[in-house]
Order: sequence, then C-alpha cells, then structure tokens
Amino acid sequence: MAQANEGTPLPVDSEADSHAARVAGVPGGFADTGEEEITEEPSTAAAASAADEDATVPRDRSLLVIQDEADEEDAAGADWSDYAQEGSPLRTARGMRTAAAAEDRERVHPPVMSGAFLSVTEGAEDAEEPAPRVGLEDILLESEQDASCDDFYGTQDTTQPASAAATDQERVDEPDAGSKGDDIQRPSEPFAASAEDLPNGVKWGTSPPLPSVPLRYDEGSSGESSPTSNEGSPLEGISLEPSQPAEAPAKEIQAEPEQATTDNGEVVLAERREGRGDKGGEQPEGDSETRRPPGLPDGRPARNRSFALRKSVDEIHSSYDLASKCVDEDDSVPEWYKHDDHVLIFTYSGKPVWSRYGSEDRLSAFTGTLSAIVSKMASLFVHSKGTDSLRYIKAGDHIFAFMERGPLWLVSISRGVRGRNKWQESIDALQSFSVPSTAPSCPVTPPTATAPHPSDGPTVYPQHHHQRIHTYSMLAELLDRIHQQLICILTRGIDKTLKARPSYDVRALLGGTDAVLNNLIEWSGRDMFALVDSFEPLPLAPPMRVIATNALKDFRAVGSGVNPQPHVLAAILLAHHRVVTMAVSRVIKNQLHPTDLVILINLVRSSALRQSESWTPVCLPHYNDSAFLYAYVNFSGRDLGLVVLSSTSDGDQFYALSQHFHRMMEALSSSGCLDAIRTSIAYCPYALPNSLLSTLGVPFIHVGYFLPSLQQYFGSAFSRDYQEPAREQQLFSVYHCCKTLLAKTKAKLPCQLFYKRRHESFFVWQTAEYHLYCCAPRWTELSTHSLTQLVQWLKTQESFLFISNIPTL
Amino acid sequence: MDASSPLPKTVHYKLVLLGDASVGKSCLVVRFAKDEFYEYQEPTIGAAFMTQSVTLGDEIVKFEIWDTAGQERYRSLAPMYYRGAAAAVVVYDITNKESFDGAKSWINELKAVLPSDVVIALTGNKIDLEASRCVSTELAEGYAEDNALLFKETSAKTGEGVRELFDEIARKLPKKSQDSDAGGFQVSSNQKASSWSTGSCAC
Repeated sequence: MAQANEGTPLPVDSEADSHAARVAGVPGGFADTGEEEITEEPSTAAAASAADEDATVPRDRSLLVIQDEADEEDAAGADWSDYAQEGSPLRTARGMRTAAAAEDRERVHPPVMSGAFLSVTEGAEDAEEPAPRVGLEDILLESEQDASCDDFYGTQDTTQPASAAATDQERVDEPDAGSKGDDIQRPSEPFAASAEDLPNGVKWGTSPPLPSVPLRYDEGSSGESSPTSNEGSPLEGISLEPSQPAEAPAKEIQAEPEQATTDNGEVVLAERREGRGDKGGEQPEGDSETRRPPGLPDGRPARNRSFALRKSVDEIHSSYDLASKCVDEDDSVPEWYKHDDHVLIFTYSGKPVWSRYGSEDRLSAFTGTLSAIVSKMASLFVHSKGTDSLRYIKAGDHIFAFMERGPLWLVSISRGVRGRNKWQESIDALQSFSVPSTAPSCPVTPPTATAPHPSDGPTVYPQHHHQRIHTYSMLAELLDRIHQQLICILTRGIDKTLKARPSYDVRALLGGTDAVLNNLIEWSGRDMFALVDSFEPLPLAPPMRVIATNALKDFRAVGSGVNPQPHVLAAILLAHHRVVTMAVSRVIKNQLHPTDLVILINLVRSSALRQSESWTPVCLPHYNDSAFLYAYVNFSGRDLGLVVLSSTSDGDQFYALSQHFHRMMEALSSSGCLDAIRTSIAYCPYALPNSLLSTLGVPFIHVGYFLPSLQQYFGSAFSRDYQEPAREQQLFSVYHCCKTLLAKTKAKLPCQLFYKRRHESFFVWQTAEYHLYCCAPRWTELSTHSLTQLVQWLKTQESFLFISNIPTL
Repeated sequence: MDASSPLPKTVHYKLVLLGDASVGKSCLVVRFAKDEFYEYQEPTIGAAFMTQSVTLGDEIVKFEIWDTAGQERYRSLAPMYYRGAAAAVVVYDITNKESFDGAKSWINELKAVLPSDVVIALTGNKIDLEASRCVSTELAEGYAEDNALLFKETSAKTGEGVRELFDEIARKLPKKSQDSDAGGFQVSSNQKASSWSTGSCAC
C-alpha cells in the first residue's frame, strides 16, 4: 500500500518534495508487512515515530515511492535528526550565498538531501575552495533545501534520547567512516576532475589498458595502515570503526562480535569504493593518481577484482556440472524438496520431459499429479467464455507457477520470501493506481541514516536476505523463455508429435541439454536481459567496433570456394555472452528477436559448441518456430566466438564459413581490434568510474541502462559487497518487482519508482528513450540531480556501450 | 600442395563418427586430434569439426573429422554429416550392450546409403572399463568380419588403440587420383550434394 496518488505535476516546493519521500512509510504498508526479520528488531519505537511522521505526510504526486521496513534501525533516525540540526547553520550560510542559483536549479531538480550527502559538502568545502562548479553549487543548493526537511525529520528523534550521544559521536566520525571519506580526504581531486570533465570527460575505454589496476588495488588494501581486511574473507571490510566501539553494539543489531575487531574506517571505505572503482587505498597511491593524464582522473574502467573468487555471470555458462542436477533424487527424497527453484516440464499426459533437479524417470508420479491438478483446474473454466488455465498457486513460502505451451506444461516451484508476499499484495493493491506522466520528477529519499550501515560491509546478512521475491510475471517470463529454448532445440515439430502420439517420450530428444536449460535459468536470475528483453553489447570504442563489423560482414569466396553470403541470415561476434558486433541479412532484418538472440547465445555458450568448430541445426522461435536454421559456431579461445546463421546446410557452406572465420580473426588481429576486444572482455562487467561516483555522491551498487530503441542494455558491475550470486539474484528480483509494479500501475512513460529496502534503495526510471535501473546502499542519497547526471553521463557513453549500427548484409 | 612443393603430398578425406550418445565419440576425436581427454566431455550439439593428419609413407592423410552428436534428435540429420564421407567410424561402448545394437543399425544405414568403397570401422570404446564389459571382443569381431568392417577396441581415456585405429583407416582408404588441396577444404567431389532440405527434428 505504498501510497502515492496521482495529480498534477508536482509544484516546485521543496517541502512537499521532501515529504513525498515519506509517503511510503505508512503503517500497514510495506513497512509493517516487511520481511520477517523486522520482528526480531527492537523496532517499536521507530515504528511509532514512523507513524508519527506519516500523520503529517502529504502525498506524493509524481513518484511512486516505496519504503520497505521503515521501522528499521531506530538509531538511524536519531542520527539523522541530530545531524540535520547541527547542519542547519552551515546550510543557511551557504544557502544564502547561492540562493539565486539554487532557486534556479530548484525548478529543474527538486531538492534532495541527506546527512550523507551533506557531509560531502562539508568536506569539500572545508578542504578546498577552488571547488568545482558542478559539484559544489548543487551541493550548496541542496543543503539549503535540506532546511525544509529538518523540522520534519526532527520528530523522528524524540524516541531515542539514549542514543543521542552515540550518534553524535558517530556523526563526528562519519566523514572518515562514511562513504564520502574518500572525497574528504582528498577533496579536490574528484571534484576538480568532475568540474571539468563530467559528464563528458570521464570516459571508459579510451585510456590504454592498465594491467596494474588490480595490483594497485592489492597494494592499496594490504598496504594500508590497517591490515585486517583480508581479500576473499567473507567478513572483510566490515565497517565498524574501532574509534567508536562503545556505540556499536547499541546502535546496530547486526554488530556481530567479529565486526568489533575489524579495521578502521578508511580502509573499509577504500574497499567499499573499490568495488566499483579503482581508487582503493589511494592515500599511499596518490602518486600514481597524479601521474594520470589530466582529464582522465581514473578514466579507465575498474575491473572486478574478485571475479576469481566467485562464479560471475560470465562464468555461468562454462561450469555446469551434471552433478548439480542431483539425478539420484526424486520426490521421495527429502533433499529433492530443498532445492530453491525447481522447474519441471511435462506433457499434457503427465509424462516428465525435463526436471531441473532429480531424475525425470522417477518423477513421473509427481508430474502426473501436477498434470492432474492443471486439468482439474481447467475444468473450472470450461463453461466460462474465455479459455483460461491455472497460473499460480501460493502455499506458504512457495509459489507454483504454471504455464501451458501447446502439449507441454512448464511448472516452476520457487521458494520465496517467507510469509506473505508483500510485493504481490502491493501489486494487487495498486492495480488501479497509475503514476502520472511527468517530467523527471523527484526521487526524494527520506534520510534514514547518516552513518554507513554496518550491513554495507559484506556478509552480515541473515540468511533470508538472500531470498528472492518471486512474482508470477517474473516466473512466467522465465518459463516462457525456457519453452523457447526447448523450441530452439526441437522446433515446434514436437507439438505435432505429441498431439499425434500423446505418450511419446520427449526425454530422449532432450538428451544432453541439461546444461543449456539449467544455465538459462541461472543466467536469467542474474542478468538484465531477463528484465528488459534485450541483449548486452560488449563495450568497445566505436572505431574498433567499426573494424570488427567490417571484418565480420566481409563474406566472400576464397579460392575455389563458394561465397557464403547469399545464405547467411545473421552473423554475430560474441565475447562471452556479450555481442561485439553483428550483421543481419535483409531476409531476417527486424525479425531477429532479442529473445531469440539470447537463447541462441545461451545454447552456444552452454554446450560443447563453444569447444570446437561446429555446424548445428538451431531453431529461432520468433523467426520461424517450425524449421531449423544452421549455425556455424567457432570460438577463438574460450571467450570470443563467431556464430553465423545460415539458411542452407550445404556442406560447402560450412567450409566457406570456416574460411570466413579464419579470415575475420586475421583481420581483427592485424588491426589491433582483437586486442581491444580482449581488453574490454577483461574489464567486463564494467564498473562505473570512481570519479563519476564521487561526483554523483552515490556509491551505486549496480546500474542498469537500457535503450529500447536499440534493444540493448548495459549492466554495470556489482559493487564489491554484492558480488555473490545470491545477492545479485536478489537485487535483480527487486528490479523485476519494480518493473512489474510499474507495469501493473499502467504508468505512462516517463515514470519512476523508488523503493527502499532494508539495505538498499532502488530506483527505476523508464522513459521512452531509456530505462534506468539502479541500486544504491540505503544510507546514501539518490537525488534527482545525481540521477540526472548519471543518465547524462551514460548518454555520453552510448557510442562506447552500445552497438548503434547493425549493418544489413 | 603445390606440385613444386617438396613436401609429401597431402590428401584430404572426410571422416565421420557415428554412434549412440555417450559412447565416447568426442573423446575419441579429442584424443586423436589433440591428445587430450576430458573426464566430463559435454554432449555434442549438432556436429563438431576437427582436422588431424596421419603420415603414411610419402603422403599425408588429412582427416576432416565430423564428430556427430549421438542424441536421438539429431538422428534424422545424420545424413547431412555423413554424406560424402570417405570413412566412417561407428563407435559403441563396450560396457553398454544397447550401444552395440545402435552401432549395428548405424552400419546398416551406412551400408545402404554410402558407396561401397567407403571405409567403415567398428570401434568398441572404453576398454579401460574392462571390468564392466558387456560386449565381448569375439562377438564384435565376428560381426565386423561378417560385414567386412575394420574393427578396433580403444580407450579414449588411456589412448590405447586410438592412433592405430586412424592409421589403419588411412591405410585402407582408396588412393585418390587427384590432389584435393584447394584452399585446404575441398573434399571429395561427391560431397557437393545438393542443398540438404531444411527439416525439423526427429520427432
């Protein structure tokens, strides 16, 4: 019941704006139906204060704001208000200086402010006068507007007198401990850079590859004054500062014993920023920073340093182990029920076709039962005018999603959030709600905590934090994609066969495809393609992309061979699952559906196809679901692959394409393009440059940027603390929910949604031109200004991130 | 090879591996072509292509090997891969009786379709698993003799018999009259079959 009502576009009114942020803190809304752990917290006081605020909350008019678990850390509220009061004089003084400018900007960027952001101002101001026009002016502006939040949030504090002293202490320490310590220690650099360069100057890919990046990081973290952060340790970098041990236990319930012994704030800070930038341990590394060319403060993308420690999205496809199918299990074994996400496929006669876990042979009783359920349910609809079928069943923490596809049934059984599914309820409740379309409005966030949340340190989450939120629409999309992957392997011929021979055993036809189907499921949960129905290009400098494209489409006959081009439908150069470049024939133009591309990529990358030169039939369901095309697949190394779809299976075509592959690789190699591609592959997934993040003042956990016109997306690397499959999945599931919620509200574009969870804030911004999905730690501030700047910056990078020109063959 | 080349003559032959799923076709090829062995070889999709040469006296026999998928859904597509082959290796798993029956049906199909000069080799793989053998050497050897096939038992895992198998095939191949080295990919002329029809799967 996140409340937000429609109305006229929001007048420029800073007070109303700041109030809007609290819209969601409504008792009985997300706050109260929050995840179960809420009940474990001493939260009554906070809940009371939340209720208090809500009584005074005017309703938001332009933005859907959801706040989950508003009653979390009571101390956080105290921190904020305490801090805000303290900050007032400062704010006023600065505010006067820039009043005119502020007013100007206010119209464009409604005010947003939090303690965390304010602290940046302070640091920057104190240390540096030649400060940046971009950063500073806005900050001053916003700090002024903060005054309007002040009184309002001040009420939060009243229930927590005991923690006032502690929070005061914390506030003082905060510049060192908090996210902005980075900036404060060396305030001029990022800002100076930003003043000049943002959004144009910060670039990826234009700077030469620097293999020293990881090294520098290692040096930084281990060479710091505090050696306690161990790379790879699950508890590394937990961020409780030794300088404030007394407050720690009182403040946060998650202050576990291990944390008390951890390192000082600076190192933590450096590491935290490290996850998305490369400035870790920068104090001792200042020299190397200054050696960089001006205008590129840290202009190269930071690489994911810990990718060796985890199974990244890039590695999903290369590491399927048949053992994970647990073929010994069936529905009589307790272990079988412990898998979180079952997917079963069976025929309408109840015969098992495929199961993600367990042996299909031994699950026939189970699939028979499911088939009986769906057919009984179907009988309920017999007399209704429309044909309908069972879609989902919820039972406890499980959701059973059903999907009928011709003679096949697909069922997913997922374990989700325990108890009621708040999201589904909210979606149901908001069915009739619609978000008015307004100009970029006001993603105002209520400042809830000025101090970094301890959970920003890694791995202090309780287990159920990893539970994903499942909505039917998300599961249905997954099942539909699985079905299309099946069609890709078998064609629709399977439908005819099954209709003619209902007892036909399809399992034999699917032999050897466990990895393909399983990887699709795993990949879907951890990448953006499932969210926005598109594909991901490999970021590459435009000139290099042109070279690659020319090499790719340069089909011609060699020697006495044939020219393969007349039969080529599409040629795709892949770097892992990312598309470097592609060319499409006139025949298939505009018919190459992104989902087809994704399932083709999944097939190619999941199977032995990537291991050797291959020639295989594939079916593209959106193009023609009843016939095979022929795919030439060849990989150079494990990462770079060529896929050519051909309409003929003539033997000569294979040899001609084989020659084309070798010629193309030679062209790429001789032009230096191959090196550029490999360098870019090594940087994937790209982290946002540090200078950008510090200018924005938001250490984003993840940013996804989707261009509907190109049907391509860019997904940034996850910040360091989130580089773990379970967390990535969880964040994507929240994105999915946000998307579903926006869809359900039938919001017209542009629309925005802001959602605050226990540890993260999510912001989804959909316009006709782009969709932005981003996620930041809860304690940071997402302001209109920073988000607009982020988008502006992403726009400047579009030629690097996306394939703007897909030539016709 | 150019006529002026002092190097030995290279002749290209198309060779196809057939057999049921999981009998070790890909492992055999990988052992032969790269001298490697993967404990978990992923199931082949469609068909994989590899080349490897065998030196035979004064000439080099370059095998262009099509390693086909054994899964049933590709059964109807097999002609696409074996058409034009000069040699076929039909593989079965000595620990799996059914795969031997499968091999027999492959041989019947090949004999019916391919010209009689095509060299067909019957290969029992996985002899490192002697303990769980189900298909006796005598039985298979007898069958091979009756049908005028080459016969060899191999282990892709240990490499036993693999090299010998391909050497023997190379020796038995009919001598080609023409050099077929244009571009390195020109195979025997009968490979140029007309466009294979685009069909759906076996179902």
